[in-house]
Amino acid sequence: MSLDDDRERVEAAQRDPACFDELYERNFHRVYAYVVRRVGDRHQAEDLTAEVFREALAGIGKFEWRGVPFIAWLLRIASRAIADHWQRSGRESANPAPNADRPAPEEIERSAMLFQLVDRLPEAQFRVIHMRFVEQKSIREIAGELGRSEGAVKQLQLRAIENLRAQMEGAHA
Amino acid sequence: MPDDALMPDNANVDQFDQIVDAVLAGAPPASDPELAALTQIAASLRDLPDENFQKRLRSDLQRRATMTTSTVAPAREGFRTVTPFIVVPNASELIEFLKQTFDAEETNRHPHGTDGFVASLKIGDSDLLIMGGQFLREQERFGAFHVFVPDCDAAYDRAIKAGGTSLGEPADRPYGERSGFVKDASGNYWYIATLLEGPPHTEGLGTVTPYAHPPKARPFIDFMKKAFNAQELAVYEQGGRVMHAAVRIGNTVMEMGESPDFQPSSFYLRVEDCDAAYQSALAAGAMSLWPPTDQAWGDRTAGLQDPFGYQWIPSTPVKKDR
Repeated sequence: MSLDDDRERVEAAQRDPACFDELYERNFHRVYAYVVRRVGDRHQAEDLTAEVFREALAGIGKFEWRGVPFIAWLLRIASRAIADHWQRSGRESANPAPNADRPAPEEIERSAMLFQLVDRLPEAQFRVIHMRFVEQKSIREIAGELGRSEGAVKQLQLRAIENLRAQMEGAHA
Repeated sequence: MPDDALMPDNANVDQFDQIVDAVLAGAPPASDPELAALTQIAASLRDLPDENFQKRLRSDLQRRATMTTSTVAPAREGFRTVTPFIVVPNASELIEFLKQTFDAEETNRHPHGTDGFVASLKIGDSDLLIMGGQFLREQERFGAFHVFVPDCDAAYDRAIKAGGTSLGEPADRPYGERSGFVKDASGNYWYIATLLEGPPHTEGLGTVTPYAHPPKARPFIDFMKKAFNAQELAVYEQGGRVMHAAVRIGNTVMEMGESPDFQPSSFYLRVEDCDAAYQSALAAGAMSLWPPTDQAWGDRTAGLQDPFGYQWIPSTPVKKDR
């Protein structure tokens, strides 16, 4: 996405918050990838990602265009939200922060691209990947729910991941 | 790639599933190089977001955006979306009546027209705008409302399509709003406004800005456009009368407000401390026209007349907390 596109979409959302939808679609995977890499827990990552986008929507009017991609602003909000979160949970449990290092921008882009490619998998492959990696179900459970043999589910799993690797390599070629 | 293409080899399928099991358990094994790239993808997929979460958050944001659009257009500090606007010649008497009857508090007053003013009042949790001045004596009385909307131009167009009559097309106003004025079929006036970020014409404002009082501003502006290539910056019209306008000639801004009677031109003086400038001018023999007052357009101003009959308006931006 070019900076001009970015700017156009931000200005549209500033005029009409209903246009924020498009900024969400374009940046959801990046923000989520960044947050989950830093907190390492799905539920906390969801809470924090929601917090980032709600804050961004509420503050879109105050966003000043300075030629920096919109995602940089979102990741700044995310970074602050994570710091606040650790401060709160640190007070409660005295646990150290799980992953204080910020992931490199290339890693975020790579994860975000992978997550977007999952959305574009053929339906059967997408279902298997979602059930296996998000819902963390066993091959047997998935086979039962989808009414397929365990062998067929394993094949769909491998096919999906081969598909993803091919597309990731294609994108980086 | 369709999923009914050639089936991968069964040994590979089983071997890879064992790797996925290990990855999900948090311990990716050292696999053979052929499977290393796939193992890395599988490891990254542990962080895959839940599609249901993505959809829920999208709906939540859409709902919030709708609420923002429909109810909370940014309004000036202390203002709600719709504010009743009462227009009467003897506004001071009305304000006194409201103070005594409802314990109204006057929060702001700025000069308006030739001899009038616009005051903001608070009664309980509500705001009221009152415009006064003898220049209103001959004008028709109307009920008026000030409304903040997300997009003044779009709302103005809708109002005209819905049968409203234009009283003034949308334009950037000197008091920090873009607004258009419409009369509805029942004769009520609607001041449809969108808050501007910062004053609309600050570039080119020197420390001293000439302020003219022509009987008709439009021909005067047209003359300056033709004669000196002036650029129109803001024109605030009400009831067919230009209350305030600003034009730029070269690097200088000149401001004006129509006055049917002759009035001396005045000087808008931008200073660091309006109150101190006011006191100095009084000490030097000037006469007070109005004391330092926070104005709705974001300046704190005072009015003075010097011993030679010229009027001076020292001004300082109103201090904001943020």
